[in-house]
Amino acid sequence: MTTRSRGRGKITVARSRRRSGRRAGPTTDLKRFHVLSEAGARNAATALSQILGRPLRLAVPWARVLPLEKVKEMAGGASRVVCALSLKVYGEARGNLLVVFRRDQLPILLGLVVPRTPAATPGAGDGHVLNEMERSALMEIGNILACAYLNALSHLLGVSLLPSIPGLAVDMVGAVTDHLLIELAALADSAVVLASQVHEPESGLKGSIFFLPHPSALPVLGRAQVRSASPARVRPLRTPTRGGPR
Amino acid sequence: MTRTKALRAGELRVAEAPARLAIHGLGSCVAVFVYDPRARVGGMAHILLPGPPKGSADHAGRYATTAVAAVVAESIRLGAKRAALLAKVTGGSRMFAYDARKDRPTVGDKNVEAALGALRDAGVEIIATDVGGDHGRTVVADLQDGSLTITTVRRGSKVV
Repeated sequence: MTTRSRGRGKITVARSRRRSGRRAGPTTDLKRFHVLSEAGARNAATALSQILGRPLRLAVPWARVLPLEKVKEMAGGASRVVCALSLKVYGEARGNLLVVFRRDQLPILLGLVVPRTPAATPGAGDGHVLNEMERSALMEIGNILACAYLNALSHLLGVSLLPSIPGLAVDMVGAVTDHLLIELAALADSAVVLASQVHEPESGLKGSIFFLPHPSALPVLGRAQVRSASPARVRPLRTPTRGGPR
Repeated sequence: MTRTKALRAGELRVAEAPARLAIHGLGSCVAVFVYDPRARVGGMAHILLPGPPKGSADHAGRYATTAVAAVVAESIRLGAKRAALLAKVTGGSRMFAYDARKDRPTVGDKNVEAALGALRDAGVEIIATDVGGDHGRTVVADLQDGSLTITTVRRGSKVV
């Protein structure tokens, strides 16, 4: 299932599994959320693909309703160490975006975006000593992914959505998802989670994007189909012309 | 083999030696561990918020005020003496710099404050705290010796 031969900016979408959530709202809403999840992730993947100059695969976008206490398990379990970028979403559909890369993938990611990172520096890129350049590159990636993701949602929903500046942490999944739970705990027992994974086959880079809408945003997100029924109609960012790298 | 039970967010659990109670990846949430060293029983709570919203009696484990009261009561039911109970509190980090408004307490700070206050109200002596910072913690409470082992990604581990 590699996509090596494809040009940069191209996204392949793995067959999506649609898993219906436990309860919480009619299934039709989850289908709409799924459409949004895929559209957002596709746009984000296109953007990342262009930054990296590599083709990306978009894997299994899903939308689910998870009991709050299970949210920490969504990104590989509470104790897994990851690089997490967290953004608040403002506008007519509030929520939180979380972009997650596994820690062991940080050197790959940084190698792709900060070409001159001296890989020989002890501890470089493993999250112990991120230098300013690396931090800012990662935050920029978070920013671009979030903007691309939210643009697709804005387009489908006809509302304006704005991301905050990203917060960056290299830490345990449990720790970097606490704030998501805390925000929801006073309001709900379950969380709607829109998630997708992007995968760069050549380097093995994998990243996940999670969108947790605030409960007040759910009616807005439920309008998804009013505007468009199919994620295929979301136009991704323009594919760059082929040429030399960079 | 010693039994280790992991607590999810909003959960509270009591146990007796030789059991261990663990929370993996604690961020802005707070862990409160109370135990009676002589009876070697105690419990831990994985707290999300300082206090329950008005009119809500559900999910005692989520809120500092109700969780502390519940874990103390449950420990006593399991054989602990109230006067002998000791408490250790950890967590309450600020994980992301964007919510760093230095003049305002973060939700982590408020959680810590509420947990300490609730312990004082319950008359439980607080013998150790390791709170705040910008890092996550994995905590393991051992009912055998009352130790609380705190492991972090960048700052090693310690026992309090």
